[in-house]
Amino acid sequence: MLRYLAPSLRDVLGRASLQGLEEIRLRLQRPLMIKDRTGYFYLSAQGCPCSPAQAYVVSRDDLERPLQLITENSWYAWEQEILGGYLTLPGGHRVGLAGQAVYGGGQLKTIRSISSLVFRLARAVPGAADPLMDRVVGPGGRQLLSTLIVSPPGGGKTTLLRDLARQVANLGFQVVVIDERSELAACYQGVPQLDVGLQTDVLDGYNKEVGVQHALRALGPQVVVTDEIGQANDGWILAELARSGVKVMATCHGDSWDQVKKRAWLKDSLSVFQLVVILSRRRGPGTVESVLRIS
Amino acid sequence: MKAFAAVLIILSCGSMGVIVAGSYAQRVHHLRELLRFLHLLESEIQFSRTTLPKFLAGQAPLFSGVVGRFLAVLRQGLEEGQGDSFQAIWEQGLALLADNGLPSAALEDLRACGAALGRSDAAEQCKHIQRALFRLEQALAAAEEERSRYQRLWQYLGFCTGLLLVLLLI
Repeated sequence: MLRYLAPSLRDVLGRASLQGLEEIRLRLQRPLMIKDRTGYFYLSAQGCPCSPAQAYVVSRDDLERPLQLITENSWYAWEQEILGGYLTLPGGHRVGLAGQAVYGGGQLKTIRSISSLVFRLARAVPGAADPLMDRVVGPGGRQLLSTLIVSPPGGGKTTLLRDLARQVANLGFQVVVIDERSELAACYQGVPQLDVGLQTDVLDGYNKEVGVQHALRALGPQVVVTDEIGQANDGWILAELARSGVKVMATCHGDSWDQVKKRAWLKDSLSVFQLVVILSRRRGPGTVESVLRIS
Repeated sequence: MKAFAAVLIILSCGSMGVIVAGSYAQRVHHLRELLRFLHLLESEIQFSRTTLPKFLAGQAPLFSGVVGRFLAVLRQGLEEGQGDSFQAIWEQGLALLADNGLPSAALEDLRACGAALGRSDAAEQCKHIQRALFRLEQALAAAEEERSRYQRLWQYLGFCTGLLLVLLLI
């Protein structure tokens, strides 16, 4: 990922200890910020953690060069991704953008005057779903249960869902991943950068509604995997999948099962799920608080 | 001996005239090649969203002469660059075109086009390219007119000057 940074920033980061690096935050004319396992901190030009006043100050060039390197000086070729607010790098790492929105005909046309870049390292955790596999696939690995993973932000639900998809696909099920925000498979030029299994088709960038219709019509899935359900029409999508006899694996924001059950949009669709996994950050991301079997 | 010297003078002057006349034809040829390049670039951006490095890698070998070398400079700059702006690489290429007699007005239009290339969405890119195409077509029409007016003139002038010199020397 460092090769996409301006040479000056590469020098700074080259001097720093980047063990457990999670994020690099570049904000125009503001201090360089890094996140690792321990949290956020500023970095000096010598690559040492420091106070904001002593930190390396991000220049316009530090913001422009990564964009030129990532887009290969071809902004127009990345239009859709830019409108989505992020660019995906080889390896599945992502660069979030902030800048000035330009609207035309009531729609976002482009983003100008980029003022922030957030580099986020993608990291798959193979084996994250190991403790759940017996519950999800049942005895003998032939009977799959539709599963909903519930957790607060940063609770590790996407990581768990990705590994669940990988393991289920490798057991022989035909899996379709509807990767609306390119977070599950992190496709780069059509190639999943994170392992989602041998028998997995990825619908990259599709919204859930179109993705489900496409999957049912063209791909014949046994399992559909999708992240972050919570929109008003997601209930309809889940019902459509259940009608077609397709199992669903999805994630949902929430602190507890009781909180999720109260949501109006989900009430009628909860019957789709047979298993609910509640996660928290109590002992770090991915802490399994409870696994509920729903009849 | 005198006859040999006379022939030599006429041929020398004549070939100088042919070279000057040829520069008019060369200018027309370069402008046509640049127009072809910009038309292709516009289609690739509009319909395929091909990135500039990929487009140049495919197209640069298909162009010959000065325009071929111009595209090779762009291609090399993009492949070896450290995130340099495309405008800076484009300027290096333009220097090559300037050394080979491209009209300064056309160079200015290309400079403006290069400053915008790769920096905006496809619709904007096409507008910039269209503007450059319009100006280059005007430059081409002017260059063709100059060629038809001066090419033959310089050819005759070269040989006639040679003949005049021979007559004066005899």
